[in-house]
Amino acid sequence: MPENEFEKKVSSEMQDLRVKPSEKVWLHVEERIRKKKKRRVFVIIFFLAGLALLGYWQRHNLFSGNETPVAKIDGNPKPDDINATEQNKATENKQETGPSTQSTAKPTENKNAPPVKKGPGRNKDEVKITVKSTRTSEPNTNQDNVKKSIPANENEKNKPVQEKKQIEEPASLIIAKTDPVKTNEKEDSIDIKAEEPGIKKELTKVPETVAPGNKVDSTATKIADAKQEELTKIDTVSAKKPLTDSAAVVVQKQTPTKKWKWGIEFTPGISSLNNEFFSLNMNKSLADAYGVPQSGSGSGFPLPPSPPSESASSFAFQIGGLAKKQLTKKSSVSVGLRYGYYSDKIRVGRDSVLPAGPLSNSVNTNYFYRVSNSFQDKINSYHFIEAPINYHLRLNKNDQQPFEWSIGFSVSRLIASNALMYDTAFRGIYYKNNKLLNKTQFSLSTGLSFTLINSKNFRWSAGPVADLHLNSLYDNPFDSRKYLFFIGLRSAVLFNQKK
Amino acid sequence: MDYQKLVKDCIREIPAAQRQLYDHFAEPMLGVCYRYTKSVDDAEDVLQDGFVKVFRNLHQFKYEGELGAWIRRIMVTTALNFLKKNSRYNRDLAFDNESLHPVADDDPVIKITGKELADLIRQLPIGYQTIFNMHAVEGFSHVEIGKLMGINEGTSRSQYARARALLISWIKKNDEVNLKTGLYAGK
Repeated sequence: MPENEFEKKVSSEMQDLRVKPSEKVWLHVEERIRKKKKRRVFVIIFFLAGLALLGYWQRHNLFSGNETPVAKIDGNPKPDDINATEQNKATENKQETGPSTQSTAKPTENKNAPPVKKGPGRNKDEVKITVKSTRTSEPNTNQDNVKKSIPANENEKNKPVQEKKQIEEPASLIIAKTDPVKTNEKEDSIDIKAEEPGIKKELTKVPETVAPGNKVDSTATKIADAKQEELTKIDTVSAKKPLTDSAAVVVQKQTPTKKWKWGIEFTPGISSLNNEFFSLNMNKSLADAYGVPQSGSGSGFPLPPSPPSESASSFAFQIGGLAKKQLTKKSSVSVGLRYGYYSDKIRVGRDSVLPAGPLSNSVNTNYFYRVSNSFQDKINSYHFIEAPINYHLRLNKNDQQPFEWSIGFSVSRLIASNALMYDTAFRGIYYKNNKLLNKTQFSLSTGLSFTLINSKNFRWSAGPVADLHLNSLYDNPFDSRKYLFFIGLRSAVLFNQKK
Repeated sequence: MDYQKLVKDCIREIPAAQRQLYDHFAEPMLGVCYRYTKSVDDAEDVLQDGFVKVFRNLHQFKYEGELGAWIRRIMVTTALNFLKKNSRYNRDLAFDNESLHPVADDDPVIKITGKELADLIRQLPIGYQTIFNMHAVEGFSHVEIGKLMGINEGTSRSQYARARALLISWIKKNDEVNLKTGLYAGK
């Protein structure tokens, strides 16, 4: 600082110095700030246009699943198709053994099913289906019974334990209160716990036993007395330290931006499997197979396999934790670990027992689903553990309520799935075979995030996100490549660290 | 003037408000830039850069201090960056320990106008000029100057002492000296 008269005089003279700028300065300033605005608008328009284009392209895949040829066959089967199916049953019976010839639907499940489909062997199918349903239902009822029986006993057993814990809690409170650093936090926890019934008893008993004039000399009163004294001692100690603690808080609050912030996120949405992300063409072999001209049994050519069902979108969600760190004023990076549930919907036909053969030997399931004459929706679900890393760029000027664009990369590991795989055997079937799933997945994601609440303790933001997997989920030689796509509305809560 | 409303309007990028803010602060801020540079054109360049920064970062102004002081700070840092980046200035910003000028400890009576004093300050070598402006006018400590300029605190002190002595000698000789010839030809 200026230390004597000379500096003071100079400073006062210079503070009042005014020089008039030429008009061109403002013109240049105006030009530069308008140019920046135009550039920003252009970036936003370009980004929104990209999102719209992506949405339009995905809409074709996400919402066109019900218009598949398979579904049409199921809803209103053409007489030609039915005749062709019936005509080829004989050839199939010759070529294949087992239930593959029984390609009719149950009358109760499909009212539109034509009377032509009634024939021999149907009763066997119905029996098999009911057997399967009882298999699946039995464990549920057993589990329910077990669940119903266990809680009553457990509650009775746990009750005394919980009561013991509640009685013992004041001791833990005393220990917690002795922590000299986190004084404010402990006080909060004491207030909350004091409302618990077990603690209330303890706290209210103490003044009664030490009330003046009461000469009860029991050990309980001595213990309570000692605890009360200890509490008062600690209160006085903690009361002497608030200045240093609050100073520490102030110092730490000055540099909060470079620290990792922890949070949780939940993203409900929809997912689907797209055919051939990088190419709109199907596998050549498949195209050739489906392209074989339709022929009856008299021509000598077997009928081509029915094509696989189109994948329709279905419910999906992601849930997990994340840690976010500010890199610069406008950019930040986040890493996380989350669970992702994705699913897609296909239409399949009856389920049947898989006949003995190479296929049944290679898979661990006994059932398959017909592709033709599909009448039921089947949800393929995929359970992933994912590790995403995202880069966030703030698009607005307001750092209190940031509007961010994020782009990221994620590595995922499939932990479970009930997905059905397509095979051209038996003129097109679906069966379970998790060996044909690519369990390690890589994906790109992008999204927008609007801050809805920015309080002292947490920041809640929400916005749309889209994830596109880069490698095919299916490694099935009989099916086209399938790329998992997910869009959802992400809601994230970031907690501000308390010190 | 209601600065709070003006700032909010500028954040909303209302052209009239931006022009009003510029008109209000342009002259005193060009005075700041003028002291740090050797020509009016350079000062206007700094002013232009500074106001672009002001408009782009106005949302960061927290109303905790005076708006003028906040803008002034931006102008000073912009001027320092300009000096460091501009080749006509940055070669003279190299500080050495040579004793080029006598040290004067007395405080002269300043009878010249502010503009004349500014012109005298601008006649100083660029290193002296910068440190003198930062310490005597802006009130930076030598520690702060050292950090901003990337020099030692001691260097800042010695440079300032020499700048001060030189300026005082010029003020004393103001009536006799022809400023246009330049006194610091020895540098």
